[in-house]
Amino acid sequence: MKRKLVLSEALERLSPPIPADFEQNTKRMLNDIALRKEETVVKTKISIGLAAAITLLLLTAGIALALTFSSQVTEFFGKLYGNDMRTWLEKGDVASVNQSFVLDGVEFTLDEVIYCENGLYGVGTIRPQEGSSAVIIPEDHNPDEPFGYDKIGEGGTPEKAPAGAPSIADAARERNGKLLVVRALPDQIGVDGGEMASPESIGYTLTPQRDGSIHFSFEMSDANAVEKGQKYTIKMWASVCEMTLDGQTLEDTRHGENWTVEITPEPISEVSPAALEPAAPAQTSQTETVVPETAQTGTLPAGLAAELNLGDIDQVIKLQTALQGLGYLATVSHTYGEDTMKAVADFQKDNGLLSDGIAGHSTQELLYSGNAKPASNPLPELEEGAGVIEGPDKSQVQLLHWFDTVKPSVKEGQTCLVFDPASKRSWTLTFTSLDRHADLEPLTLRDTRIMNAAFGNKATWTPKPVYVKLPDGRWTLAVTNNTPQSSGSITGNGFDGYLCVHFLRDMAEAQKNTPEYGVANQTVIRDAWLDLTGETYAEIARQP
Amino acid sequence: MVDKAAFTLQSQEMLPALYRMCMNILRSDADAQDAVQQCLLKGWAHRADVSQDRLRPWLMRIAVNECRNIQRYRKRVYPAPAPEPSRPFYPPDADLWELSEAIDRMDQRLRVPLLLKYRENYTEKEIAAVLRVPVSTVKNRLYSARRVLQKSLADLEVAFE
Repeated sequence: MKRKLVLSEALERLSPPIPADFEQNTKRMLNDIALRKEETVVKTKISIGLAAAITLLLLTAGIALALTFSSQVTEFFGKLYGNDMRTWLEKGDVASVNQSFVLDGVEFTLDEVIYCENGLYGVGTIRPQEGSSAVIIPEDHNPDEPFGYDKIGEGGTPEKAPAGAPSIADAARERNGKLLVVRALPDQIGVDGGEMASPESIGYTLTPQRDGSIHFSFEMSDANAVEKGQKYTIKMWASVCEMTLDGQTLEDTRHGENWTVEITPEPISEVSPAALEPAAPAQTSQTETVVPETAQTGTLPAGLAAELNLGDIDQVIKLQTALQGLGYLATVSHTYGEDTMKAVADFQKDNGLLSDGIAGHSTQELLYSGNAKPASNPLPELEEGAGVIEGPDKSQVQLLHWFDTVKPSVKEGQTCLVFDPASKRSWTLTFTSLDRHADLEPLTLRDTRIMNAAFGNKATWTPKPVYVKLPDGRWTLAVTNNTPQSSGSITGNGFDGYLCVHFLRDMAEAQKNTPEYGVANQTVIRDAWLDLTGETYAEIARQP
Repeated sequence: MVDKAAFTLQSQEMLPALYRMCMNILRSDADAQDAVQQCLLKGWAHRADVSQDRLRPWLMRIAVNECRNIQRYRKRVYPAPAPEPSRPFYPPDADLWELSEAIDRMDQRLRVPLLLKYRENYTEKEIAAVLRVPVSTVKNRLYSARRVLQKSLADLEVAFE
C-alpha cells in the first residue's frame, strides 16, 4: 500500500516561513508609502486588462498571432531568456541605431535598441578600428583563454574551443598588438531634451565573437519612462583599459568616455534587418523576406514562417542535407523542428544574415549557392567506429514477446542499449511511452549520431532488425526505425521527437490492431529471427 | 485603479505568499527579500493600471518578473555585488524530503505554476496572468508538472488537490 500524500497539504508544510522581521519591516514600508501625500503614479502603456483581453481574444478566436518582424534585440534576448522574453520584447518600441563611437582605436557601435515597459534593451558590437593591431577582450576573460570563445556562454554553458585553439595572448602576439579590455554600457537616459536619469540597475553581457569582435548587450530598467513613439537620448559609456599578456590590467591606462545617441523609435515591423553582422559577406544587404505562416501547423513551431514550403518534405530534406553537409545540423529528420530552426539560425549567423531560424529566400539562396560558409563551430566528426561493440553472442539473443515479457519488465524513463548486428554499432535509447510498441528517444546527441550512422545517415521508416539489451540485462530481437515523430522531451539530443521500437507480437493481434505498419514490423522481426537462428518462429496459439 | 488602503491591505496579506514564491525561485533569502520589496514598490507605483479583482495575480506576476530580473542580472551585474551563496531550500520535515527534492529538481517553468495552483490556490486563469502565457499553456505545464512529480515520487500516491 502506497503512502498517500495530498499535495496542497504537503506543500503547506514545506513552505519557508517569511522571516518575521522582514515581514514587519515590509509592512511598515507599505504603510509609509501609503501615508505619503502625493506621488506620481506611473501609467504603463499596456495595462494587464488589455493584455488579458488580447489573450482571451486569441484563445477564443483560435488565431495564431504570426508576428513576422525581426530584430536583433528580440533575437538576442529571446535566445538568452527564452521565447516568452522574445514575445514580450516584440511589444516594445524598436529603433535601429547603427551609431559608432571611437575610443583609443576601438570602435563601439550601438546597433539596435528596444524600449519596452520602462526597460531599455540594446545590442551592439565592439571591434578594433580598421588597421588597428589591438586585440580586445571582455573584462572577465584572461589572456590564456581561447581567442574568440565565450567563456560564460548562453545559459551559462561556456563555448568550448577546439583543442589547440589559439589563446587571446597568442592572438595579441601574432598581431603584435595591445591587449585591450573593453566595455560598453548605457549610462543615462533622457526624454526629449529633458533631464538625464541613471537607471537603478543595468545588466549586460559581452560576448567574444570568432572574428575578434565583441557582441555586447544591455538591459536596464526604470530610468526615465519613454512614451510610445517618443524620441529619447541614451548616454552610453565606453571604456578601454590595457592588459598585459599575463593578465594584469594597467590601471593608469583606463580610459572611459560618454557618447550620446539620439533614438527615434519606429514601428517594429518596419525595421530593416539588413544589419551589421560582423562577418557579413557581400550578400548581407538583402533583406530576408518573411511570409507569415498560414494554415500549416503540424509539427512546426508557432510563428515559423518561410518561403520554404514546409509541407514539401523534399524541400525540408534538401535544406537539412545542406545544413548537415556544412556542419550545422546533426540529423536529417524530415521535419522542420527546433533543431532545424537552430541550425538555420546558426547558419544565418555565421553567414551574416539575420539570424531568425527561418529559411527564407536569401537564406536558401546562399545555402544552395555553394558559397556558404561552413559552421564556425561544427559538430565534431563522429570518429571511425563510434559506438562499435562486439555485441552479444547470437545464442544470447532471444525473441521476447512484447505483451507477455518485455512490456511488463520495462518502465518509462529506463534506458536500453540497441545493437545493430549489420554495422556493429550500438546506441542508447530511453523509453518514453509503452503502448503496442515502445516509443523511445536517443539519450544523447552522440547516440543520435551513432544511430543515424547505422542507418546510413538517413531518416527512414524501414524497420531495421536490432538486438535490444533490456534494463534487466536480457537481449531480445526487435526492429526499429530512426525517424523522429511528434516532439521529444529530451532536448539537446539532436533528435526532434521519438522513434518506435517494435518487439514480437502475435501476428493475429497485429493484423487486428495495426494492420499496416504493425504487421510490416512483425514480418521483419520474423524474417530476422529466421536469419538469426535458421528457424521459423512458431506462432503462439491463444484461446480466443 | 486600486486605492491606497486596498493596495496596502492586500499586499500585506500577500507578503508570505510573495516571499514563498520568490524564495522558491531564487533560493536565497536576501534575493527573495529584494524581489518582494521591489515588487511591492513597483506595484505601488503602477497600481493605477490594475483593478482590485486582478491585484493578486498582478502582484504575483511582478514578483515572478522581479525574480527573473534578479536571475538575469546574476549573469553580470553592474555595479557588481558579490552574489550571495544560495542556501539549500528550506529544511523540510523528514517525511517530505522526497517531495521537497522532487520540486527542487523540477524545471522552473513547471514548478512555478504547480506551486501557484497547489500552494497558493490560484486558478488557471490567474496563473496565466502571472506568467503571461495562454491558459492552454498553463494547463499543459500543470499537466507536465503533475506527471513529472508523480514520476519522481513513484513510491507515493500523490493526490493532486
